[in-house]
Amino acid sequence: MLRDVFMFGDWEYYPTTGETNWSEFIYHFYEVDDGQKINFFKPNTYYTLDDTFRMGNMLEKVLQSKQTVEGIFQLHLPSGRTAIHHSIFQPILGTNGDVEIVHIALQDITSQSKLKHEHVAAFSASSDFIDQLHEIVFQLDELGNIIFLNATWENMLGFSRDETLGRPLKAWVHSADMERFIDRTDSLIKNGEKEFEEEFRIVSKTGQSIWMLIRATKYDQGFSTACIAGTMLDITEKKSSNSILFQQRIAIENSREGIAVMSADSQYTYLNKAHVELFGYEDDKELLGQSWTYIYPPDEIDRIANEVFPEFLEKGFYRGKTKGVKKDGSFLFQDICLTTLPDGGLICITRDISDVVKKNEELQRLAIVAEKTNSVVIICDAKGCVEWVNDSFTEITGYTLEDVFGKRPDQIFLGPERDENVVQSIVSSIIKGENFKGEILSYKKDGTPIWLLIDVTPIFDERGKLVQFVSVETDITLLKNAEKDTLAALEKERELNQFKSHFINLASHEFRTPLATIQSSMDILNLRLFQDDSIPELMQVAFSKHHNRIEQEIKWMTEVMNNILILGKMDAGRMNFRPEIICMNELIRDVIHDKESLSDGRHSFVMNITGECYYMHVDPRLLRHIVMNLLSNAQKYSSANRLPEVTVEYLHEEVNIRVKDFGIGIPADEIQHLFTSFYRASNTENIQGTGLGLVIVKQLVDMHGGSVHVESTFGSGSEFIVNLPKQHIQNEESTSC
Amino acid sequence: MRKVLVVEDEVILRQNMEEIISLHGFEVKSAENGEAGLLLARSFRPDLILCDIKMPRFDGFWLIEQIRNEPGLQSVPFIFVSAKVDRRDVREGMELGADDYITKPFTSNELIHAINARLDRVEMFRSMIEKETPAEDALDQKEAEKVLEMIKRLTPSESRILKRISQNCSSYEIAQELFISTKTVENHRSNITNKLGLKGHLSLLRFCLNNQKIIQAQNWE
Repeated sequence: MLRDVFMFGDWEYYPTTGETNWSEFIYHFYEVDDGQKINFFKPNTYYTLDDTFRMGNMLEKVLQSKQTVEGIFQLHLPSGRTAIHHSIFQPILGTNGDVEIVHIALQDITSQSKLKHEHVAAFSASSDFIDQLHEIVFQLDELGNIIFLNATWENMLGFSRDETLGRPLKAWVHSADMERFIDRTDSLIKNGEKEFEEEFRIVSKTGQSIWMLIRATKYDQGFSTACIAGTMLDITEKKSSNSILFQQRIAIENSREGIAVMSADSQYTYLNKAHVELFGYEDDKELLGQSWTYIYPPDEIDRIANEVFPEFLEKGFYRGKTKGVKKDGSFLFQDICLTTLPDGGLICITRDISDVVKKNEELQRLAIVAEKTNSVVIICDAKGCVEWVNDSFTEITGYTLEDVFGKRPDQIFLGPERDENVVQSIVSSIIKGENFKGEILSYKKDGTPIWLLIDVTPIFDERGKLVQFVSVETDITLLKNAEKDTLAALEKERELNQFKSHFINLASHEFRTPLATIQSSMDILNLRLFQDDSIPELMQVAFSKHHNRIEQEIKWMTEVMNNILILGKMDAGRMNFRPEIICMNELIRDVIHDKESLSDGRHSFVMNITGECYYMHVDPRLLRHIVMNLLSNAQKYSSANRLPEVTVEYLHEEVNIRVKDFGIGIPADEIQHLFTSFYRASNTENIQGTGLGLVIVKQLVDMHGGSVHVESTFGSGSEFIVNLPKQHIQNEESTSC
Repeated sequence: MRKVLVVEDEVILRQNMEEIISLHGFEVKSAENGEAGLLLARSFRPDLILCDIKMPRFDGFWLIEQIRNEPGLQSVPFIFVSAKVDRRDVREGMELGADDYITKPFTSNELIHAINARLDRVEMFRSMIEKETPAEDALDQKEAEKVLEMIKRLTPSESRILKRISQNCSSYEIAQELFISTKTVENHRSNITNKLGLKGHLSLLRFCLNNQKIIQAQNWE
């Protein structure tokens, strides 16, 4: 029992007599009975010869130098046990100044060496070996004073052991670490702690601080106070490499990417700030010690367990996307990278890709929408090579993803009539990263032609780098065919129109020569008839009457032809519109005057002007025709009782020309047909008319951007109102007239 | 007897025209196309040519170009008689040097009127040249004021027509330009003649020629 603990004992050697005085401990230690003392300075069974000599030398040194010497020795005890002890030879001087007694303190350190610290094993070797250790070996008494140091202390710190021994170790500890050091040693000595291992700075003789890893163990001597034995290891180098680690750690701590370390039992042992914040926490303490499942939703935990971990375990690392759950319950989409640690734990590096996911989701939504509308969706990488296609792509084109993957779309859909210019403009858009919209004739896998409406959109990442193209393509073959049909129909319509205008031309030209012949024949007959006196007068009168009728009808036919020609010309858009600045009042007055003078005053009109008059921008030729026509109608359908009225109404932004007669009026249900070709009201049978005049009027008014309408009461008169917009004429100041 | 050449491809109309014109005391010959018309014109030496435009092979436009480049024929009055009624056709014909343009169908009066008007004009020029008294020299200041006074009595429409008559425009041209019928122009013409105290078509023409400067100077549109 006693041998299991550290023990002290002492003996004395009297140089003058060679006698020794052993304490009880020594007898016990050397396993000898009382009185059977051994001279250790002579060869004996306990020590090797070398050690015996070394011990002798030590004694010699003490006697001569009168200084304390110490050493560690190994010895074989009679019981067969090997023990290690540490001895201090201390001279005690007599009155004459010579060494009277050499006091040898012996400490059994066998147990210590067999205890925990490896370096103590060295005690089994020679004390030279101990001195050669890289570590400082020290012992402190219950007060913390140094009672043993190996030579490494001197080598390392420059202090001799003489000036050190007996003094407290704390005196060499750097002031910044002092308190901690005292705290640790106190807790060993007084508070029942067994050991500590910590880093302290020790100050050398040159004033340099040396980082030491101090390992200290408490032991007691079996009966009284506790003591400390320990080692110090210079860890300056390690420290400096530690400082690199420290910097790295700062870097990790401040990384924008979340970094977490997980132990083998899936608990967080470290989380950097970013990782904590990504998940919406404030302090890493909230997550430290938690399992990773704490911050993942159940479905994702299952997925990770079933998909991620197997791959991770197989390869030793994993990269991929996961969905975490934040403290507030919202999801965190992340790109994670898992790496194994030697101890079975792992490092998880995570990046927030919620934005990217949102964008992708949006794209997917778009793709879904596109699918719903039976559109083809193609996603290409930045080089324009196909990465993905939707189902509609296969349905519509017949190509599968396998057929087209990695190809550029221009290398697909090949066919004889594809317009390579369009292809080139798509390719150049893609190269420039621009949007493209257009139509192209493509070919399905089976060679069927298909018209596609293509909309290519480049997708950029948050740094503006081109990452993808999304091409949405719609099958517009039917539309295109319909377009073709429409074009064909239009062409037919055009041909029909051409035929129509040709017919109009024919009708209005080809009848002219026969009409001229009829007219001339009639004229010849007339001339001859009146030159021939033998023809009875009654006959001449009758002939003359019919000659006039024929002439009137020819005139009438000619007028109809002229009107048809005008309409045809307007239909074909060949009617010239040459507006000039004119005074409407003058123009109308003029037409009225003409009407009056041409009828020798038989027909007259009342003219009114209301509002502030101004110049108008109209084609006077066409407007004259309009007014002339309306006046002719008023004249024709008027009664003799009251003169037709012409009113020019100047309004703010428009002019109304009202032509009102007090004649037969128009049946109400027929008003709507008035502006239709060849339509004549039922009550006009006895009045000549082509049924084209108002049609022409309407068209001419339309050319002016105006409108014409009728207000009529059957039997009591009609009013035609031409509404013309006031065209804005430059130099507004001078527009009043 | 004044000689008129008729060029018309429609045989019955050609014969009718021939008959009407001769009934009015002219010597008439006719051809059925431009080429025959040119050959006939060289031998017949007409005082006036009436010509259709649309004819097979050599049409009226071809003939007028030949006539206007033919020494001895180039100043012969040339009147188109055509079924083409479009302004463009009329303008083209007039630009080639025609003196008038009559559209089909026409009455014998219109035809004879046009022939007479042209021949009267030629007659008038000839007599003016013979007298060697240029029209403008005949005018003194007092005369001019009298003319001004007279033309101020005209309505705007009449003024417009007068101005165009003085520019040597035919009734048909005027009708086309003002978008009114030839008949209306003719009615205006006779009103103008009356208002100016003149008698007959020829005197109006003479008035216009004599007072061309004054009329042109008026600011009528």
